[in-house]
Amino acid sequence: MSNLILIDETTVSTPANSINFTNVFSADYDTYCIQIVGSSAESSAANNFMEMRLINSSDSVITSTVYEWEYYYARGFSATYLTIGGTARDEFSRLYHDDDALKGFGNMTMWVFNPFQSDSYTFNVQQAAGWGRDGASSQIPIMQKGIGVLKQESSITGYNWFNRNSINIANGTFRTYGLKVD
Amino acid sequence: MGLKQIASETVTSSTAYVELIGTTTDDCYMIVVNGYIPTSDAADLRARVLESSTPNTGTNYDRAFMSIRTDTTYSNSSNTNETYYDLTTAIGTSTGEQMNGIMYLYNANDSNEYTYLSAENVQLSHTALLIGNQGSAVFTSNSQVNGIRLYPNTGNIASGTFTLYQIED
Repeated sequence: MSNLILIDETTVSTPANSINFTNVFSADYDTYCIQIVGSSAESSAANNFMEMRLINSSDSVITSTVYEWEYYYARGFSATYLTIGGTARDEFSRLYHDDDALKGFGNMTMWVFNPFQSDSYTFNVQQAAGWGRDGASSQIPIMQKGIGVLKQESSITGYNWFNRNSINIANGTFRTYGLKVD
Repeated sequence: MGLKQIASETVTSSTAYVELIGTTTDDCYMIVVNGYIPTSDAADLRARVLESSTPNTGTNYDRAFMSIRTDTTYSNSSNTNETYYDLTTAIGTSTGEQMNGIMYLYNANDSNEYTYLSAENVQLSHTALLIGNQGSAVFTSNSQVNGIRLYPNTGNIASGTFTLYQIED
């Protein structure tokens, strides 16, 4: 039997601006894998993305500027790669996607380290493949490879994805796995 | 596809190195480093392959990495003929500072091929700077590798969990 244990699988069937995934992190595991397959937005926009925040043990989404993240960001229309992100952010991660009618899917594999431990910061590494506009007039492939941290010692039990530009998240399957150490 | 645990060690007191042994098939292997903290501030985490459970200390390690960081644009680094894989950048020991990462080993068991490693790591350095070292490395010797040693370039390992998984059908 695999040591990678499926904890939660949620498929978005009703578009929503914000989606919570609660009680997925626990004392059972220290390392988690989050896979997002085929996320899309309800409408198209340039630089269309959804963002991730963490949920603490009081079931509150952490919205303060206690996150840092940085992405290496490659775009299909330009040989110029970007790094985006920085310190004092109010989100843990970001995933670019777009309208599914335009095949604007975003897909991501993220590893999350030590979310539940109340004496540790929470870290992630992730990589993503998407199809979006990124300021271009037509759809382009987008690649992200990045890192992030919640610079706060607190017990994290879940996560939230939202769109701050009031564009709903329309589709996507979100899977959370725990990596067991025997 | 599944992940089968082959070896694991959790360090809770000062330890010179960790050895993860058991790359005995031609499958790909995954190494997970969780919450690594060195005893010495600004220490790196290094790796050497094990041949018959003995670390190879020869000049057989090449690497190419990209460092993603929040203080400036990314930087690239590469080395040839080193005596180790250098996996990180000056990890800190203050509150919250640690390193975590996912690495993969390829062709370790094949005595006719080089052994390859890819890595995606995240850390807070000794200045609390967020850095991610993403890249790959090659052990340029046709030999059978049965595991890996992880150790700091200075001081010891203070804490962390190090686990080797076999990626199997």
